[in-house]
Formats: sequence, structure tokens, C-alpha cells
Amino acid sequence: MDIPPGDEAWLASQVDEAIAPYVGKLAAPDLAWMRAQLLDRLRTDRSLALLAHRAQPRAVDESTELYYGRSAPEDLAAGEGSPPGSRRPPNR
Amino acid sequence: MTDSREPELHPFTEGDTIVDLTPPPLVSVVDGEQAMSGLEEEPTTISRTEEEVASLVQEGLPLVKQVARKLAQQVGGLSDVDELVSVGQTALFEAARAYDPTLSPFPPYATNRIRWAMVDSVRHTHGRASSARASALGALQRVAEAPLDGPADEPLTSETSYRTELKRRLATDAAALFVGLASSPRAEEPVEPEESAEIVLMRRRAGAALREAMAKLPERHREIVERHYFGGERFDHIATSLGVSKSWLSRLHAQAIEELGERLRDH
Repeated sequence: MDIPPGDEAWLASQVDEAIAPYVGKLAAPDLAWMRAQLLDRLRTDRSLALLAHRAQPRAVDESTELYYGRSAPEDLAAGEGSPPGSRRPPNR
Repeated sequence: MTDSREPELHPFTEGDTIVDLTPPPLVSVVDGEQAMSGLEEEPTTISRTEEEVASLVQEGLPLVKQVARKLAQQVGGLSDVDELVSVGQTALFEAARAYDPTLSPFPPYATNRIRWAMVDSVRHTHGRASSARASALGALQRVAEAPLDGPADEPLTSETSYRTELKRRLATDAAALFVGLASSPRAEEPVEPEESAEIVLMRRRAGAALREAMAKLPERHREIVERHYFGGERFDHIATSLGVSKSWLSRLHAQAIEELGERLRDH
């Protein structure tokens, strides 16, 4: 199974969190190098990449609109659509 | 009449390079780590004909350049990739001799051996800047190869549990890199021309912070880190002297690195 590429910004934020304790303890070039190695691990280590894929927040539709599906073909043919919030009318 | 000629060598070509498949001596020419990954033990007891060895070497040759290029890019400042390739070819021969097909496919096994040999070579034969990075990559690889402990042994069932485990593994990996960079036994040497004085100064301070964190570790964990990273002692020697297997020592080492990461976070 191929692991889908992750959300780069989210992965980078995870790496930044991991190296945060070393900010001020190592020089900037060493920190940048650590960051690059960890990002590389996330892309190339299969088990870590899979873990990262599963750990990523999923996009959730947070709108308040309700989805009722498309109108029945006969309604469309008659120029009618299901009114918002209504159920499909019973068979006529 | 007997044929008194020398045994025929079996050169293989890889790109423009002729690779001499004459087996190197059984004793490793690379000191240290190459026989120390979690996958393999000491040099081989597997009975294999030279033709079988040559066939495995042929299969593994493309890996050598691949691993050498990647390591050179990771470490930086290595002008001579051919030197790494040479080290890798020796490791490939040894891997071909020691390979046990019942344990894993050959390519990942060989890649592991090749990489360890190259990392070890850079650690011991290059300038401090490259050596420290190689040491850090070695620490990272050792942690990555260790059997997992704790929550990862339990089934992960939710996005939250995956996220917690990911944070834990990244934190441990970061700690491993830090330990490798900060524990360079050559930290007190004068600044090399290609080094930034700031990097060297900060690494010395990092070494002091690491020592402080190590002092709070359980005795056995502290001893492993002290002997391996500051004393430069081989992993298999430490395992023998502690009376544990290398696999168990890898697990203890990973625990020690994880604990160090926690203490350094609180520091």
C-alpha cells in the first residue's frame, strides 16, 4: 500500500514541536539540520509515515448546511427540486 | 597438468566502475558499528559458495551508491563519495556472507549493514563537523531499529492515539539526534576551519546540558549512554559486559534516549 503524502504544514508543525526543547541548546544550523532529518524520516520511514498519515486531523465539513442528496429524476424532469430540508416525496 | 593460475576474479561493472568481487578478509576493515545493527550478529556462520556470495553482491551493488549519496547529502561536507562507496562495498561483501534468508529479504538487510559501515567510517575518519552528524545519524538509526516499548505495543485505535504515538516517536528521534551532536568526544578540539565557532560553542554547552540530564537517569541507562557516546565503546562490547543481548541493549538504549528527551524538555 502506498502511503498518501501528508499535509506538509501539519507534518512540519509536528517536527517543530519535537525540536522545540533544543532551541537555545544548539546553534541554528544544527537545529535546521535536525529538522531536515526528522522531516526526511517522516517521508522515507514507512512505519513513521504510516503513523503520521493516520495521526493527521481529517478535514471535517463544519458548515451548518444539511445535505439531502440530489433530487429524484422525476422531480428534475418536472422542473421541481426537493425543497431544502424536505424528504423526497413518496412515490406518486 | 594442474592449472597454477590465480583464481579468476569476477569483476562486475556498475556504471563506469569496475567492481572487483575478490572477497575481502573476513575480519572487518571498518571498526565498530557495522556488525551492530539489530538485524545482524557477528560475522557469518552461514555456509555459502563464492558464486552465491557474488550473486548477492551483484544484487546489492546498486544499493551501495544509493546509500553513499544519501549519507553524503545528510552529513554534508563530504567531498569524496567514492570513499563511502568503497566502505560500502566491503560491508556488502560481509552482508552477503552473513545473510540469513530466513530472517529478511536481502536488500533491506544489506542496506542496513552498508549504512552502518558508512556512518561508522565517517564518525571515525572525518572532521569533527561530519563526525558529529554521523554520530547523530547513528543514534537515530539505533533508536529506529530498537524494538518498540510501551504504547506502541498496544493496538492504536484512534486518531488521538496515533497522534500521541507520533509525537512520542518524533520526540525520541529528536533526542537521539541531539545526543549524537552533543556528545562528540572531540568537542574540546580547536575549531576546524570549515566550522562555525558558534556551532562548536553551542555543542559544548549542549554537551553540558546532556551530562546534567544523564545524571538523573537510572544507573544502567546512564551507563549505556556514557560508555557508548562519551566513551566511544562499541555496542556489542557493552552488551557483553552487561550480560545482555544486543537486542535487549538496543531496547535499553532507546528507553534511555526517550528518558533523556523528557528530561531535556524539562530542563
